[in-house]
Amino acid sequence: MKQATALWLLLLALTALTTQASTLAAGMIVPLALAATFIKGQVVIDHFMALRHVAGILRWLVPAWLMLLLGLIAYAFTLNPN
Amino acid sequence: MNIAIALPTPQDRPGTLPGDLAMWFFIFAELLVFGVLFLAYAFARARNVELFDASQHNLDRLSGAINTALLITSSYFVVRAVDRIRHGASRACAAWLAAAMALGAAFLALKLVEFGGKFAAGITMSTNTFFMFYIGLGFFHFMHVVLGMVILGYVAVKAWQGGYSAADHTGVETGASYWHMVDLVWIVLFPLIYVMH
Amino acid sequence: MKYQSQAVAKPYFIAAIGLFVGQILFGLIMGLQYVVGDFLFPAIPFNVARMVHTNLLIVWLLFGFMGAAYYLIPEESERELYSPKLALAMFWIFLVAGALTIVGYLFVPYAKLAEMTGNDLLATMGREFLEQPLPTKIGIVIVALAMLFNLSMTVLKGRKTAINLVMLLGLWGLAIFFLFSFYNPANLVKDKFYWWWVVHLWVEGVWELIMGAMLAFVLVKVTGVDREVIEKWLYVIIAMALITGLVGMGHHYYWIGTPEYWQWWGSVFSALEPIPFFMMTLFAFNMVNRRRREHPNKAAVLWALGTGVMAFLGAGVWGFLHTLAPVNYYTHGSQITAAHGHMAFYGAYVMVVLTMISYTMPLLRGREANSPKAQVLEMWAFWLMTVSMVFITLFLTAAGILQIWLQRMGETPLGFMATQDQVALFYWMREYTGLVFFTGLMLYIGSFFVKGDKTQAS
Ligand code: HEM
Ligand code: HEM
Ligand SMILES: [Fe+2]
Repeated sequence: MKQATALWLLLLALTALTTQASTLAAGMIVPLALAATFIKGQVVIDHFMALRHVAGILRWLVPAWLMLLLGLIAYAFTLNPN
Repeated sequence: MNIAIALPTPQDRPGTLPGDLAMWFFIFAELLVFGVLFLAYAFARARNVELFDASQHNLDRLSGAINTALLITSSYFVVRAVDRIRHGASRACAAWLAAAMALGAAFLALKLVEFGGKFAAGITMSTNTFFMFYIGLGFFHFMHVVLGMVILGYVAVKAWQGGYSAADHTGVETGASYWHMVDLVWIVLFPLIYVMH
Repeated sequence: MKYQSQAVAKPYFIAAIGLFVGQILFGLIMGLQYVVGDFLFPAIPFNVARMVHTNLLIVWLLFGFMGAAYYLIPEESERELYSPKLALAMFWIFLVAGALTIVGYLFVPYAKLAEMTGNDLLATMGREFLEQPLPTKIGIVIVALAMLFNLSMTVLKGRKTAINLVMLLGLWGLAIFFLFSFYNPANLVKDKFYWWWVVHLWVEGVWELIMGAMLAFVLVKVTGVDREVIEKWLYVIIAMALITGLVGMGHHYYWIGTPEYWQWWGSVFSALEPIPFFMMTLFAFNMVNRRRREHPNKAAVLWALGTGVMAFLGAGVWGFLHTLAPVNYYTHGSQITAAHGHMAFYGAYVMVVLTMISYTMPLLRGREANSPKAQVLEMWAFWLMTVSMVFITLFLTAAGILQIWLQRMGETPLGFMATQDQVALFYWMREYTGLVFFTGLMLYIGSFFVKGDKTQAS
C-alpha cells in the first residue's frame, strides 16, 4: 500500500502541475499537459486498474486507447484553422 | 455484480483481468464512446481555435482541478478497499468504499455548483460549440459518476454484510475497475477542456 | 411447455403470422404502384397501402412480442401466468381492434375515419406509424397495461431472472413511450420531436431490451450454456443499447428546427449504436459455439444466428451508413432510408419473433422439435426470405444512391418524379425480389403443416 500512496501523491502533484501549466508560455501548455496526462493515465491503468499484472492483448487495450487518444489530440492541437 | 462466475482474481491466478470479464467489455465500450467524444472536441476546436480559447477562459479551472483531485483520491481509496478485502477485512473494505463514495458525492456537488454558475450566466449548450461540448461532455461524465457510485454503493453494502471474502471478492474488483475507468476518463477530460489552449 | 398457461402464446403467434402475410401483400401492392402508378387505383391508393403495410408490421410484431412474453415469463418465473383468462381476453380485444382499424383504413377515406373516431376531440392521427384512430390507440394502451399487470404479477410472485426482468422492463418501456403518441403539439417541430420518442425510442431503445431478452431465452434453451454467462452478456448489451440509443435519437434532429448541438450528439452517439448490435451477433455465435447440447430444433438455432447477423447488418451497418449529420444532409428521406428500414426491421424484430416462434411452436404443439422434413422446409423459408430481404435492401440502396446523385447533388438536379423514372429498373427488381420473399413466407407457413416422421415427444 505504500506504493499506492506514493502514486496517489504523484497523481495529485501532476494535477497541480497541469493546472498551473495554463499560465505558461503558449507553446508549452499543450506538451506539458499531455505529458502529465499520459503519466497520470498510465499510473491509473497500470496500478489502480491493476492491468500491469494482466497477460496478453487485454493488458494493452487500455494503454493503447490512451496512447492513440492523446496522440490524436496532440495532432489536432497542431492544426491551424487557416 | 454478485454473480461470481469462475473468473479468478489476479492474486489467485495471475495474468487475468481483475473482476468480471463482462464489466471489462463494458469498460472498453465506454472508453470508446468517450474517446470518440474527446476527438470530436479536439477536431472541432481545430476548426475554430479562437472561439474555443476565448470560451475556455470563462471556465473555473480551480473547480476542475479540485474535482480531479477528488476523483483521484477516491480512486486511491478504492485501491485501499480492494487491498482490505484481499486480507478478508470486510468492514474496512466497506469503510474505504464509503469514503470513496463521499468524494464522488463531493465531485457531483462541485460540478453542480459549476454548472449552476454557467446556467445563471445564461450559458447553454446552444451558446457555442465549445460550451456545447463543455456541458454535454460534463453531463455525460456526471452520469457516469452517478452510475459508478450506485455500483460502489451496492458493493459496499454487500461487503459490510460480509458478502465477500479474501478468497472470493470478484465483485469488489469489478466495481473498482469501473470506478477507475470513470476516474481515468476525467483525467483526460480535465486538461483537454479546462487547460489546453 | 412447462406450464399450462404458456399455451396462451399460441393464438398470439398465429395472429402474428396471419398479419405478416397481409403486410407483405400490401408491400407487394405498393411495390407495383411504384412502377405502375395506377395499379388498383382508386380502390387502394398508395398512401393507404403504405399505412396498412407499416401498421400491420407494427401490430404483428406487437402480437409476436406479447405471445413471446406470455410464453417466456411463466417459464422464467417458474410459475403459472397470473391470469391466463385476462391474456386471452386481451388477445381478442387486440385482434378485433386491429382488424377494425385496417378495415377502416381500406374502406373509409382517412379524413372521414378521423372524423368518425373523434380525432377532433384529441388529434393524434395522420402521423407516420401512428395513424391509428383514437379508439385504437386507447385500445392498445389498455391491452398493454393489462398485459403488463398480468406479467408483472407473475414475475413478482415468482423467480426473478435477468431475462424476465429485462423483458419486463422492455415491455414497460414500450407502453410508456407509446403514450407520446397522444401528444401532438401544433408546433410542427415539437410534433416531430416527440414523434421520435415513440418511433426511435422503440426500435433503438426499449425494443432492443425485448429482443435481447428473447434471444437470451432461446439461447439458454438451445445451447445449454450457463445462464450466468448469458445473463451477463445481456446486461452489457442492454447497457450499451440504452447509452447509445437514448442520445442517438439526435440523428433525427438534424435540420428540423431543433438546436444545432443535436448534429454533434446525434452523430457521435448514433455512430456507436452498432456496438450493441455487434455484441448481439458475437453473443449468439459465441453461445452456439460453446453449446453443451445438440438441440433437435436446428431451425430455431438458425433463426437465432440469423437474427444476430441481420440485425447487425440492417440496423448497425445500414444505420451507420446515413447516420452522420454531413451524410444525412444528402440521404435524408431517400430510398436509403427505406433500404435501412426494411433490413433493420426484418433483421432485428421480424427475425427475433420468428426465432421465438420457431422455438416455442413445436413445444406448444406437444413436441420438442418438428420433424426433420418440416425443419428443412422452415430453413428453406429462412434462406428465401433472408436472402431476398438482402437483395431488396441492395436494390433500394442502389436506387437511393442514384436518386441522391440525380436529385440532390448534380449541377442541374432533376425533379423528384423525373428522378423516380430514372431508377425504375431498381424498383422492378425490388418487386420481383419481393415475390421471392412472399414465396419464402408461404413455405414458412407450409412448414407448420408438414407431418413427416415423428421426433420424440416432450
Ligand atoms: C433495429 C433497429 C432499427 C430499426 C428497426 C430502424 C428502423 C428505421 C426506420 C423505419 C426508419 C425510417 C423512419 C421514418 O422516417 O419513417 C429509420 C430511420 C433512420 N435510422 Fe434506423 N432503425 C434501426 C436502427 C438504427 C441504427 C442502429 C441507426 C444508426 C446507426 C439508425 C439510423 C437511422 C437514421 C439516421 C435514420 C433517418 C434516416 C433519414 O434521415 O431519412 N437506425 N430507421
Ligand atoms: C415483399 C416485400 C416488400 C415490399 C415489396 C415492400 C415494399 C414497401 C414499399 C413500396 C414501401 C413504401 C416506401 C416509401 O414510402 O417510399 C414500404 C415501406 C416500408 N416497409 Fe416494406 N415491403 C416489403 C416487405 C417488408 C418487410 C418484410 C418489412 C419489415 C420487415 C417492411 C417494412 C417496411 C417499412 C418499415 C416501411 C416504411 C419505410 C420508411 O418509412 O422508410 N416491408 N415497403
Ligand atoms: Fe433512430
